[in-house]
Amino acid sequence: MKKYLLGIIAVVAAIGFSSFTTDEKKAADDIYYFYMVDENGVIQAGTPVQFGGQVTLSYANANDGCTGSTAHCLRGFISQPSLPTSQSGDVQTLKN
Amino acid sequence: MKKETLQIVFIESNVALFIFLFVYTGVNKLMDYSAFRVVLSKSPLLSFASSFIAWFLPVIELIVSLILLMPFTRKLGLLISTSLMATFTFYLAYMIFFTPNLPCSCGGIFNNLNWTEHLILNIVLLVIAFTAWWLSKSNQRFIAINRNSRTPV
Repeated sequence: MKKYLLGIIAVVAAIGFSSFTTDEKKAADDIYYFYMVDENGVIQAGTPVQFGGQVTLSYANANDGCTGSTAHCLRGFISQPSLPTSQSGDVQTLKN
Repeated sequence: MKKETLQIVFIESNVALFIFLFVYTGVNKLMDYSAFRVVLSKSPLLSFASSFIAWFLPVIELIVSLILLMPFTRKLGLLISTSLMATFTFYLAYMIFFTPNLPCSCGGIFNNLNWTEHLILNIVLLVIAFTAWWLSKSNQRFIAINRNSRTPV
């Protein structure tokens, strides 16, 4: 039993941490303000919020309509950033 | 402390580290399956099988944790861990060179690292895994003795 002790502690700790981080992520996973990024990776001043307001990442992924490369298409922010900005945001959709 | 004891402590603590790592990232990937699949589907290297890899990879990580947990398969577990870490490291290096804008599809807190930080962490973990496997290979607690010559066989 002693041989398993350290391993079992590691498993319990990992599951505990997983539940903790998943809860944390869920809180931030709700809805975001999405902005279109230009070819230089910057969200220019005056860029409108996409989709008319806050939407989920999965909605943005399904509706971003971007094609061409694997660079960022839309960047999502939990709270509205001051523009212009080159921040990556909290989430991104990609051109692919 | 004797050298052999230190080696055993090093091996055992790293086994625990990798069990923690694989269970943590595996469970996180499964709990966040849809997001993990979306990111994989955008990867130029893995998009062809994103749905399959999205559940296969975390399941493999959990199986490796189980192999590491069992004392009699620990050496094999360390070898598989080293191979897995090497695969992840090559994948990260590929992504840095070819698609640096893609977000990381890693589990849990590793999602917050950028590609370069993740590559450095992976290289460190790869070296640790390899060292632990190498030491476990050479560390034989019981050596068979040829009773006639009194030399290890």
